[in-house]
Amino acid sequence: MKQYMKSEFYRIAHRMSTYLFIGMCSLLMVSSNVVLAVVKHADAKFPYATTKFSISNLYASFAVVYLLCIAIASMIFGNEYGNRTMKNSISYGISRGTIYFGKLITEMIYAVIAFAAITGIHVASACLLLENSGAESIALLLKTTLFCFPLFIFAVGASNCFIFLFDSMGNAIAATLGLLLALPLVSNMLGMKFEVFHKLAEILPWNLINNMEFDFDKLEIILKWNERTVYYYWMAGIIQMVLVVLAGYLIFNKREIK
Amino acid sequence: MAEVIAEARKLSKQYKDTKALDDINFKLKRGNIYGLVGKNGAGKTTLLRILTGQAFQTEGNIALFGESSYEGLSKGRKRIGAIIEEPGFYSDMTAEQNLEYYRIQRGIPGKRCVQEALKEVSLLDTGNKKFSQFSLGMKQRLGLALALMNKPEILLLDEPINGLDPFGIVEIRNLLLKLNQEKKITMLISSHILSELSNLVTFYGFLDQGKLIKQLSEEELSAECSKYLEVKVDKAERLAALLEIKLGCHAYKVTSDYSIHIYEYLNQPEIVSQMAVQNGIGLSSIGLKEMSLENYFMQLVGGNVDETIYEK
Repeated sequence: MKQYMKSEFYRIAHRMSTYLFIGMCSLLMVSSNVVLAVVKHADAKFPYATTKFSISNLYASFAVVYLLCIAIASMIFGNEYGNRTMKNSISYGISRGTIYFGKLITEMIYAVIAFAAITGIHVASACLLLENSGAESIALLLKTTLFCFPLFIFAVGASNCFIFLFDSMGNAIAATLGLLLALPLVSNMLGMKFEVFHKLAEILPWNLINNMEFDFDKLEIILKWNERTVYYYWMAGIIQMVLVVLAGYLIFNKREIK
Repeated sequence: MAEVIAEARKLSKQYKDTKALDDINFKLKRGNIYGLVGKNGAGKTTLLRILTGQAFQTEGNIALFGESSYEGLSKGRKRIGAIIEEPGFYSDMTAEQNLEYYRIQRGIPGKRCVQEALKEVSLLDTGNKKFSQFSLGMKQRLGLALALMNKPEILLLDEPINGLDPFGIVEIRNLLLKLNQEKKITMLISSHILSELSNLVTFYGFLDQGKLIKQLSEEELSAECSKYLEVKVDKAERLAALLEIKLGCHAYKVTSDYSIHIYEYLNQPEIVSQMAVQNGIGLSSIGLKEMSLENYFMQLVGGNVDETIYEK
């Protein structure tokens, strides 16, 4: 496993997309701060050129980060089926388990590094370019991250599962979106009529992320389902991640590799 | 007696309605170059994929270096190099980067082995060219470099000269012969380019519709692909009976209602022709022929024999 992951880190370190993803996301975040700074420069009364506003844009958009986990998993997976490279590892006696969990861990590590880098660059550029509103916004960002981290990990795990199961990346992404997005939305609609779907909807990660609202004055998280504590978020995220990862592994273990 | 280092026992593979492999039994002995011959869809690649763990058998088992357990096969596969179908590499990485990736993954110490493997297949000067820009021949050679990198004891090669130009074919053939003779690497090579196999292999297995219909050594094959008289008549079965009764000849094969191959009287075709005519058998032609590997294979699997090339 250690050798497999070393080789994976070698591979992603030698790919342009690894850096491009972080670069493009960072550029997007920095540019939003630049726009705020420019507008403030043009209009001194512009109230939003503050670190509070800038950072709140980030933690209020964690649903986007959740979906970006699909992109991260597909990018790090490396188009093994399209390139027909997996057979080289299998034929050398590397187990399917090593490949599956090796890829998963690599994707998760990259996701954490990417998140930390992009967030760090965003916060740093906000502090440099905008009016400093105090450290409370950063504290709220960290608290929101604590709630959502297991849900992001679930998204990476679910993406990894479907990417291993489908030959086509397009089909894998569609299936992942089905689980991550379509299922919660459908459950929400059906949950208005049927209690069982309502209960299901309450534990699905997409809904848990959207369960969070923010009081930007008090800088607090408001949970619509206020009995859902941070421990609930972690339990829901980890249990669902374990289930989906395990299901993916059991199916992949029987899969023939072309 | 040479050690058996790869083996298939009662191996079968079923895909829905198709039996890709049917009760295959074979042994690969150390030092041999085993040629697996068969038409497209005969099951050659399926067999190799099962040996490398890419596919799973439905019945029977395989053994590598005497081990057939899961752990034993995993360990055994680390002593194997394989090219199955077209070589697969990361399209946006160079030859060196691709091999370095696998060197790290396989835990092979020392970066020199990458350079050595590239040098062995004449790909040392590809520089920053990405794999996606390689020609088919270059891709094939990089696949061979990867197969050689861990200094394998067995090479499993699925149509290794596919897509190569004549120079490339000669180069690969000479390299494989050198590897077998100098480094004692055992090989299992599948191909349908039979003439190229005949310059290489020491043992043949003929595969057709999933069945291993014949296995024989190079010497045995040479004996079977011997010269013969091809006699075309209007009653082949009657001629066969006459050969036995009148000439005491049993070395013949009736190939159709109108054709018979005789493996004796090669220098005395007139004896056969006179006997045929005297007994009222219509004789349309008689000629000395030599069985090519292609013709031998086509006869084995019941295809049309090419008669134009070797007629004398």
